[in-house]
Amino acid sequence: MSPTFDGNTCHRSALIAAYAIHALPPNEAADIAAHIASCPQCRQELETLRPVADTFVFWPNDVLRPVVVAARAPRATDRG
Amino acid sequence: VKGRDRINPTGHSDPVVRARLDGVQIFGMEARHPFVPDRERSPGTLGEVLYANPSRPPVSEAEWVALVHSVAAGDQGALHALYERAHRVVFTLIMRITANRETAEEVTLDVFHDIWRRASCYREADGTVLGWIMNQARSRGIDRLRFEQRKKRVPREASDPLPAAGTANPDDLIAFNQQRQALRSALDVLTPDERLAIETAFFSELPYSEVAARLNQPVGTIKTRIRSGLHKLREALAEGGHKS
Repeated sequence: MSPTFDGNTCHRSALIAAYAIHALPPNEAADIAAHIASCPQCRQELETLRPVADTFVFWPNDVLRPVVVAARAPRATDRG
Repeated sequence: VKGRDRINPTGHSDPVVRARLDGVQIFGMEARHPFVPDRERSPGTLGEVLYANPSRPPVSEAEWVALVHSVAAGDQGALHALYERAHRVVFTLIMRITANRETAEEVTLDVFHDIWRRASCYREADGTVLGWIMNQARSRGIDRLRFEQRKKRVPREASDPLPAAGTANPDDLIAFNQQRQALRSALDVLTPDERLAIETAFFSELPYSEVAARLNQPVGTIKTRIRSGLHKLREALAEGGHKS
């Protein structure tokens, strides 16, 4: 069961955040966009998250230390 | 800077300008469009830059710094190496800001042009090399966005002179720093896993399923982390806004 945020109980709500930061593949993005147009709950969630995604322009890259982060990250699967 | 005037035997002395002139040839590499994903040859995304293939040793900060010092000394190969490592993440950030692919490609070249010219200004005390590059990318991207917005708003003949890149007026700079500080504080509310999921998804332009594969996590977990993280950030930013 996915958690609910702001009372959004729509069964498709789990993808709204990923949509807000453009992390859906094109086919799913189109699908969710169509859904959002007809779902007030998801539309409201997207409206609250969009401004958050907008602030990512200011993401503090200067605190990313490549070697530290790489060491901390779980070993990624080698996709060849 | 020493070496700056003796770099190119074949044409223009500035490799970035040469890249522009050549259209597709960047820093002496064979012709290929720089922004077409080419995962075999170049690190394509922030994910690839930061969470590099585990079969290869991670690039140390010392190597990044050495590259910048070489660029400062006029080494085109070092500029090419920096470009190979960072151009996609620079492009992605600028694409996020300008929302225009053509503009983002152009501004990305501007950023590497800046790096070529300003490498001698880099100081390790100011932060990581990638952070330094990304700050320039962000600043260039925002300047360009303002330029485009102003172009739409103001008739051409009435427009006041635009500030050159990197010379934003003091008020802009204050607002910029405030927003950056607000996000930085808000990010403290995230767990490292939430932050990593969002960071990788946002800057890599990978769909969440590939983010999951890259971070070796179930797809559902990544979806949940992105969502919980964004909602936490929303609350933290709202609280920060009320405090100030």
